[in-house]
Amino acid sequence: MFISLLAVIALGCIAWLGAASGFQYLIGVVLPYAAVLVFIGGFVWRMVDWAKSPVPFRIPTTGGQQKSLDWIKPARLDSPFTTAGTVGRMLLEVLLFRSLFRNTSVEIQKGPRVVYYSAKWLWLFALLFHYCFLLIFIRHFRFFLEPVPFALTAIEFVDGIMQIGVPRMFMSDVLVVAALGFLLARRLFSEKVRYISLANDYFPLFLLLGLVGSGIWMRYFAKVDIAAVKVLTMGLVTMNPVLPEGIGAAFFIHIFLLSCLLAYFPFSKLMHMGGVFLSPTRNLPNNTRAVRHVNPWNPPKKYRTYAEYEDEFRELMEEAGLPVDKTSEEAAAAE
Amino acid sequence: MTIRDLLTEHKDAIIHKWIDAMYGTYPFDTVGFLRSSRDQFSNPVGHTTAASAVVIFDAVAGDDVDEARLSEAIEDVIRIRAIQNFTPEQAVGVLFVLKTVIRQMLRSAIVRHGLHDGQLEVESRIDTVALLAFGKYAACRERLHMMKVDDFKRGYAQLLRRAERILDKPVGEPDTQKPIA
Amino acid sequence: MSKLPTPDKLIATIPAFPMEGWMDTKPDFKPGTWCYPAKVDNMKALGMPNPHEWSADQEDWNLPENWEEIIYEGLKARLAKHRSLKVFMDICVRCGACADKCHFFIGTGDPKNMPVLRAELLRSVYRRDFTTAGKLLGKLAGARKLDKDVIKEWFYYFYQCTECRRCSLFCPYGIDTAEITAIARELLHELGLGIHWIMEPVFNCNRTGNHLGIQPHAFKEIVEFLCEDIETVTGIKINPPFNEKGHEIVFITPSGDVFADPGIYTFMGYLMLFHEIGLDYTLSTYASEGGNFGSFTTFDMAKKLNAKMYAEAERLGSKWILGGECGHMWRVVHQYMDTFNGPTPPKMEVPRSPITGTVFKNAASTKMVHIAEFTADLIKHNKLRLDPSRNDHLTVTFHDSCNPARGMGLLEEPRYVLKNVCNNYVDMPENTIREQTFCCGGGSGLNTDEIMEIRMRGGLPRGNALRYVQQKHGVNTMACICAIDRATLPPLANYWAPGVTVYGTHELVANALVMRGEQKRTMDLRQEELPGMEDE
Repeated sequence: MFISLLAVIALGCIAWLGAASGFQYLIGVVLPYAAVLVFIGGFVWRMVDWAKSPVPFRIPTTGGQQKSLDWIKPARLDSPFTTAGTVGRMLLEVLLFRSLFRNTSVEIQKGPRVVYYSAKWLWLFALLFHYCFLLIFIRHFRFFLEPVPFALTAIEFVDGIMQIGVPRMFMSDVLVVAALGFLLARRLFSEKVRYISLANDYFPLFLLLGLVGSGIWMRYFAKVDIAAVKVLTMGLVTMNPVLPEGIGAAFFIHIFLLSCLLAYFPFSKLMHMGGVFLSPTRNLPNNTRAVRHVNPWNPPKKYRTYAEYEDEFRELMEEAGLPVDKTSEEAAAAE
Repeated sequence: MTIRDLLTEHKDAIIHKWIDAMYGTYPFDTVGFLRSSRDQFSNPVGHTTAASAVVIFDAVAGDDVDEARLSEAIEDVIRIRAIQNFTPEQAVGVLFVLKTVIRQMLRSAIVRHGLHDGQLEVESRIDTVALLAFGKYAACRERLHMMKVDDFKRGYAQLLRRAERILDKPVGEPDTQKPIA
Repeated sequence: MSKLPTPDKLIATIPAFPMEGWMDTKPDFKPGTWCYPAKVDNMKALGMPNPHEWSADQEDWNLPENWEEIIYEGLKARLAKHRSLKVFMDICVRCGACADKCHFFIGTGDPKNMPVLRAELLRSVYRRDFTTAGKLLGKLAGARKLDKDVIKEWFYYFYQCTECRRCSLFCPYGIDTAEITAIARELLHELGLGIHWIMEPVFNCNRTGNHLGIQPHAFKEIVEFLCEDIETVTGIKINPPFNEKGHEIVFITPSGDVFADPGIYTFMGYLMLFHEIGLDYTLSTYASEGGNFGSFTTFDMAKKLNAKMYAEAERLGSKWILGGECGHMWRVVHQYMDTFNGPTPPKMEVPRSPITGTVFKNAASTKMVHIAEFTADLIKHNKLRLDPSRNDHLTVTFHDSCNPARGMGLLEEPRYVLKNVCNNYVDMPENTIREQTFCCGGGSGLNTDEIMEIRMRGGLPRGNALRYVQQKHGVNTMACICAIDRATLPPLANYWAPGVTVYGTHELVANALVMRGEQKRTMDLRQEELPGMEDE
């Protein structure tokens, strides 16, 4: 845990020192390009690598009634028979974290009070984190698009509807920190989760906290020159990079941590973003008896045949009056 | 003030501490799990331990007990511990820990009110409970071994039947008990 | 000489907080926690690699010399063959949602029985050999060196997983420990480490067609005993056909139902049902095993044993296969059989119930129907005369077997059948049944008696739910649709909820079944008196 924290702090320091000692072009232009390349290349490579590996068996985990007799209602989403149902199941899984939500299901209680809360919170905060992060990601398009589309302005308006502070405080900023805080606190304080956590579970959390933290610092406290930042970012997307003067160190820390995250992403557990789509227990329909699934490496059939079986037990079978394909006499004659 | 009043007054605290001590005998992570989730079905060990502790405490405090209920409560605790990763001493020993908990928590009050006789009675009752638990433990282990034998008998029921028909005598019975024709 | 410890000290010898991480703790092979090793002869006869003498409680397991290479190559090959393994090795975020879903974790409290850690046992080795981060950062990235203790740990914990898939249901990415366990067991088998309780049935099933190694004549004889019992109870003599060609249906059920109590009563139930509806079927001694212990060793072995079903249907010229009550058999049939050994023989047809005319479109390709689907359809179409009051002395609950529940989705059919043959039916609490069902503690070949303690630990959550309905609703009967359940639930009930008896679903059907020409029923199939129906 501490190693992960130190690693992220070290990254922040490198960025700060780099920005202060004339490596601004490297951090603001070269690294982001490199990181994006690594991210896209790595992500595609991982996905292709997974997608290329064969799926020998159709093994969905069924979460409800199968489709069998006409008068029994099947669970179309939890135990999908059709492609549409399977797509529905995947959408529920990817957009609403269906399986994590399952944790909240009914409990009969005798004991004094609430239970199982951790699981329910996990679903809530996980969902909160992912959606806030998505929202923040979308909001950042204002730095890459000129003119800024109306939809983006609308999102920003809604996100800042609480009208607190100048510049307006975005709810997503607050919530994403809260959600990350919860996810971190779980790892630190739930004995179960702490026991299973590895350095590479803490590292992305700290990295994200650093990233979000530096962003918040930049917007609300350091108040970097937004116009200058936009010149830089527009330069980046138009493949015509320029480095305007007077962008604060906070920005360089932010973009450096972002570059780290992008470069780290494809080689870490963060790839669950892509992997979830390929999980054979979720993305296949429960119809194996109706539609044959083909195993690309299906080995040839090798088994003990009936003829071999009868050869061994023929006499016993005849004695017991069991029908045989070849009688003892026939078998003897064949030899 | 009697020892019973004193125990009643501190009932929740004593039970809480005793349960903690019992959970303390589970390895590491389980402890957090047993304590945090009280659902009867997702956490049967925690639920059973907590429910039984109350019944046993009342009996020890000197309330009139429904013996069947006490017996069941003791059995609930022991039945789980008898098949978990405990030595026999560890499985049954948790009951004696109640003595230690009571001594720790009530020592000064007992001295102040001069309730030593009462304390000795309570401790004797704990001994009784522990003896009952010993019996339960032995019964559980015995049942476990019988189950292995029964497993075999059930698994081979029809083969034994066939063998008996062929041998024309019950399988497994010593020859000497064969009725003399 | 020393002073005696106080009780507190005595019970505290298990450290409450081992300070070292899970990579540094080792399993303790106490008696009652590990299964006996497979016989060398059986392993050899089946062509399993590296058969050798060993025992889990010994220091040296006599692993083959190049064991590290075998594991490395074995894992590499399997990563190339199974997308599931590859994805599951990479995407776990260790969120812990699975942790308290495992019956073995709930019952033992051992952290390594949390599904996530069970998978990490393999994942840590995968990281070291197959990921850059693991190679560079080692332990920091969750990688560890493969040593002989890791192999022992694998054996200990992958034989404390019943491949029930309950964790997979709750995992946000669907990571399936059953898949990981199956592949880890394959790797162990590569080193010649198998267990007797699995390998012996595999060997027998291959040779004689059934797990106990019963030869054809004895098989027939034993079925005939059961027919005698049926005659005693009902006055009706049934002569089931064996190995006969030209029947519409081959019926295949786990052999445990022919040999073992209380499965035999379920088997009698099938025969009575088929007799009553006049089904055109045959039994087979060659394919006399529905179960497939091969699926607990390797995928190839599962395929090899399963191949007999289609081969026999083809030889006998049957149109489709009817399968009896079984758990893992149906995981194999539903999700693997057609892939393993299909397409089906050309003469087989889409199953159609000859009694009701219902076409089982859901089995159009595999051409094998579950008996619960078949019977539910019969009852729905009013083709059976039933007297559920014969089961009135029973208050019945139903144990969903893991495999039909989470590997098939067979949830309503058996309930529909039970509710029609029993008047008193109660379900166990919601988060312990259907797709959330708890294992019997002995699935995936762990129903052996040398690990009775482990089984009881694993069975605790199921036993606890059973005890709840026993106390609350007076349940005295647990019905199931699995031959392993019929072997494992009686001791489980005996230990955790004494007074509950285990029945196969079709035993209860047959008790209620009013047969043409039967004598007045005064006893049930177990030849115990039916209350209220005694002879006057």
